[in-house]
Amino acid sequence: MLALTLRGLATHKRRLASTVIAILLGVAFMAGSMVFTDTMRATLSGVYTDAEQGTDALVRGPSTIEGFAGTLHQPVPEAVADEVALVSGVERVAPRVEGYAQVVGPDGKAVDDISMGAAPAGMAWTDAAELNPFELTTGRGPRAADEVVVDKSLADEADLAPGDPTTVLTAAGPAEVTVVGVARFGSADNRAGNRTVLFTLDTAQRLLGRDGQVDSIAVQAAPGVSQAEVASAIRSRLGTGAEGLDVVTGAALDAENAGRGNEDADFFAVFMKIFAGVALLVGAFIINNTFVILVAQRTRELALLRAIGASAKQVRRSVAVEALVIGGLASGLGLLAGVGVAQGIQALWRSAGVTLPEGPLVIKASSLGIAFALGVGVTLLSALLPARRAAKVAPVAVMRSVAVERTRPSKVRVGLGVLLAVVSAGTLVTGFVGGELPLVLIGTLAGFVGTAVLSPVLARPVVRVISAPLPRIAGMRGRLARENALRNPRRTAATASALMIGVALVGGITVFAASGKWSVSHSFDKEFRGDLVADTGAWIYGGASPRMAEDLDALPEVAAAVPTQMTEAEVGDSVTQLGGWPAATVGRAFDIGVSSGSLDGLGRDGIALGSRWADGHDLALGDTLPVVFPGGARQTFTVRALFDHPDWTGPVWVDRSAFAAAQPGQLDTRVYLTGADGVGATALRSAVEGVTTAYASVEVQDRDEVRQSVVDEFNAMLGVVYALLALAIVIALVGIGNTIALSVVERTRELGLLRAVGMSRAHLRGMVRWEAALIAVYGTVLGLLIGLGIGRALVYAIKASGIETAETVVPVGQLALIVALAGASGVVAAVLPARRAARLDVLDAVSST
Amino acid sequence: MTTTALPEPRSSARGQTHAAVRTVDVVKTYGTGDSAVHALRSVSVDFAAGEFTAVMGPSGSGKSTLMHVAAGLDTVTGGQVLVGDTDVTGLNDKALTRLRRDRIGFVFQQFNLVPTLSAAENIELPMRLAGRRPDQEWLDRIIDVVGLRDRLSHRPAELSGGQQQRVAVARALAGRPEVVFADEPTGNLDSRSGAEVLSFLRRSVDETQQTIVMVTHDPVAAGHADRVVFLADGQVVGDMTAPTAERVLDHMKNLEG
Repeated sequence: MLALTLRGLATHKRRLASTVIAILLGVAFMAGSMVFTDTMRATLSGVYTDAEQGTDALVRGPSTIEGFAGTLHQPVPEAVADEVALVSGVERVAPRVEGYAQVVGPDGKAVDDISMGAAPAGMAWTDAAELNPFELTTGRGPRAADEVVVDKSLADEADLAPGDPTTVLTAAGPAEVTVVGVARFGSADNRAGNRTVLFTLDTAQRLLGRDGQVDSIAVQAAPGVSQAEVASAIRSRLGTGAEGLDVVTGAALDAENAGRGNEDADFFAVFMKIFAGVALLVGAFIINNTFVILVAQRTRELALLRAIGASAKQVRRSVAVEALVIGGLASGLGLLAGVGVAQGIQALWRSAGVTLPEGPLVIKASSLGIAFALGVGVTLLSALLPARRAAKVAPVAVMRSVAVERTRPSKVRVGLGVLLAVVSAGTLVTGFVGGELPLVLIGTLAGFVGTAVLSPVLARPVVRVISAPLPRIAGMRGRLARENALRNPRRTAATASALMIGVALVGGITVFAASGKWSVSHSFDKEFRGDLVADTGAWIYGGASPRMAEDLDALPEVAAAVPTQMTEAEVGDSVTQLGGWPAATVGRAFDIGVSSGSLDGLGRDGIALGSRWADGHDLALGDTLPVVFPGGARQTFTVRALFDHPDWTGPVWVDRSAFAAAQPGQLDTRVYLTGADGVGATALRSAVEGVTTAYASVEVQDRDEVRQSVVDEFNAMLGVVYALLALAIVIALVGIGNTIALSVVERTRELGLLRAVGMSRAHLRGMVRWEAALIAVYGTVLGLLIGLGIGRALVYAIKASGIETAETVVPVGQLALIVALAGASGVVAAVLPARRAARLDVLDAVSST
Repeated sequence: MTTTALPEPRSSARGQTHAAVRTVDVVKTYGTGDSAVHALRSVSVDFAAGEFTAVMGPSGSGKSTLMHVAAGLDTVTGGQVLVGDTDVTGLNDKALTRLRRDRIGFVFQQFNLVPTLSAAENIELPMRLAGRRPDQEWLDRIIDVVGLRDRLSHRPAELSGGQQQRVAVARALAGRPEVVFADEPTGNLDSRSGAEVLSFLRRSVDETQQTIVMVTHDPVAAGHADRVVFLADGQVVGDMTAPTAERVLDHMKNLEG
């Protein structure tokens, strides 16, 4: 039996080629994304562990808040470093300082786009090699106040070498410096994606806002002293309880960094796994469909086996073995391809502007094993039902010549499908609104399965409608293609289902993106009262000196310059973004719609909240709210104003004066400008740019340009998503080609007859291609309908989570384009089968048994 | 009761001298060397226009092969095939397709019809493929002759075997082709349906001068023809005019014995 199965496999290699491709692609994607995330994890944590080898202990200030990028600590008075140096068991100390510092490139623009997640930093250089995570590759360390060392990625990007002058933007303003050395962070070109420039300790303290302070003290233990010993010696010397200082061993530090690396990688991990899951799901549909067809075709062969004495179990096992062999072979190939996929994914993210740490690919046996097991498992599962059907073939079927077709769709099917659709809609919305990812996934899965279940019922009427104009357009070919697509709705539906999934996701994202772009632009148009925006591109970290806003305000062409600051802070019981706005003039930049209270009395201890945010956190006018700032300052604020349009100011902000008091040295992220009466747009712009050119990271934008940059950001993300979804669509198209090919084989006699009565080869090819196009369009239409639902759910969720002006926008043009592309792709998928159909020898076909 | 091999066109009993289809020294060989199969060994036959000719022989005699090459469904290894005045031997696929579409009709033993089309659509299929409008009067006549008026909108799955074959016959005749080739048209039918189909074929020859070439192994079927050509081992071994079922049966017995 086994030999028979294997021989059969070998004979029908071509039939199985497309099944193998489908599995291969799915597994390759899964393996590739796992390798990618493993690499990211290892690189991120490894980067730190590697560089911090010589650090035996670290002394730092008490923790303030759990920021988005990790726990933040208060700075430490620099005198503490001297004290620690005197502790017995301590060989050497190196004070560390860290703060915003951005190098200006040769083109006058700041290097690195801060807004994509990287944090350009300045640090203090130490000559104690053990405690210096940076290693020189060329040049020397800085000795004078205007000397710096840059990391290798900066040197490459900005084309800097020892001896070159450059400008560095810092909190204290731009600094003219000379590069004296280039260094690596351990063995990486930069510190986990964050570009770093290193000053002398004194300069760093001055420029990075740490006068008389340091951020932490790295400690090297004396020979023979363990990390634990030196740490406890320091603790007893400093008396940590009283001062709140935090002393950790090098090992504990490594664990912390590793944990942080994992968190960073987690976002990617989830993202990629979803897409890999999609690819595998689509693959599963294809495999199932293929096996259904294969079993149907071999009915007579299987019946013969049963007639001569094979048991049902043996037949079932034979199909299972076939699935196993195919799955194993394809998955193995998929693993090999997966390595290439991993590299492709890296390139994809980089092209979208995300900064990824550099390093070699990390290929873990466990990840590969999981991908392999999934590939084989999915294949087996998909072949399970067809295998069962194969076993049930009655021996008497040997004598019959035509396969029986089911007629009415069962009530069970309709009921189940509708039920799943309802469940799906419910869980999707609940999941999105509550931010519960598992619910969202379940909802989506239920939606797809439900539609797949309903699809055969829908196939006939929908295909009939879509294909109505076909006979008129394409004559006999169209007529026959239409009838072929209609005659086996189950198969048409099954084939189209795979495409449906990919298209649904593409459609959903397209609707969401269109809605997003429109909503954001619309909201900006409605609420922005100014003319220009001076944007540093910074978010929480970095920006421009407040002096820039003062200079802008002083311009005669400018009627109002409204600067804003941003940080992350613990507000009440959660960490959130906290803004700083000048309460007196914020209304000149944005119409925020104060609904109760007033901004006039905001003062040093007042806080303004978006009304929805306040409701969500059970806060009302007059309530008090404790806030912990990242620098360590604590203050209780009173809610003095509630407003309705928080989209551009953020839902939580305090007056600028309060912000400056709590976070001295904080920089402005943006300045919103209104022109004075009678000043033309060009005049305003040149006046503003005259001030901002000195601040190399600042870009001046008018309304249209702001809108465009919003659109661009959406499009960048879209690009990545589309590229990932493209894989699923490719797999689906392979499936369509597969099904058409198999159905051509089934209809050999019929095709031969058509050729005998005078259908030309070209006509026959056309007929097959139209059929493929029909199936593809059907799958697309269905997919878009679901996609609309998904898009809508996404928009609804966004609205519920606080972005008020979210509206669903259906980009009809784009969706119509998707349908057209799908039809065309279906045709492409069927090119080979169509050609094979036309090449059938008429005689062979007509007289085949 | 003449049994001669005839390389020349000759007048049939009806006085027609024109040959609808001719094969001249046709040779058809499959394979090479030791495993070569000589399906046809220099066969020269004329199928007269307006006649009902049956081609008979035991299995392996080459009768089906002869029909296939005569109809342009298969190529020849040597010799010539002429349909009317056209030498089809060297035609390319496009020209052969047109030939089959416009000038030749087919009735196969089974699977004659496209299952997704109705009876009426199946009948009009070759003309639709050619982009020609059917002669409605002629069509109506044929449909009435084969008795399918009330079955026109039905799909093949809804028709009996006999009805399906009648549809196939109607399709073959609808285009008024120069010749209709029928390959064992009654092979899958019960005797009554078979007799019906044969009578339709007969009538089309009698009433409209249609040329029909039928391959069969059934002496009863051959009895409906005007002439029977006997094949054995790839060669013409006999020719009978005005056949009857008994005479044909006798002759067959002699051939095999």
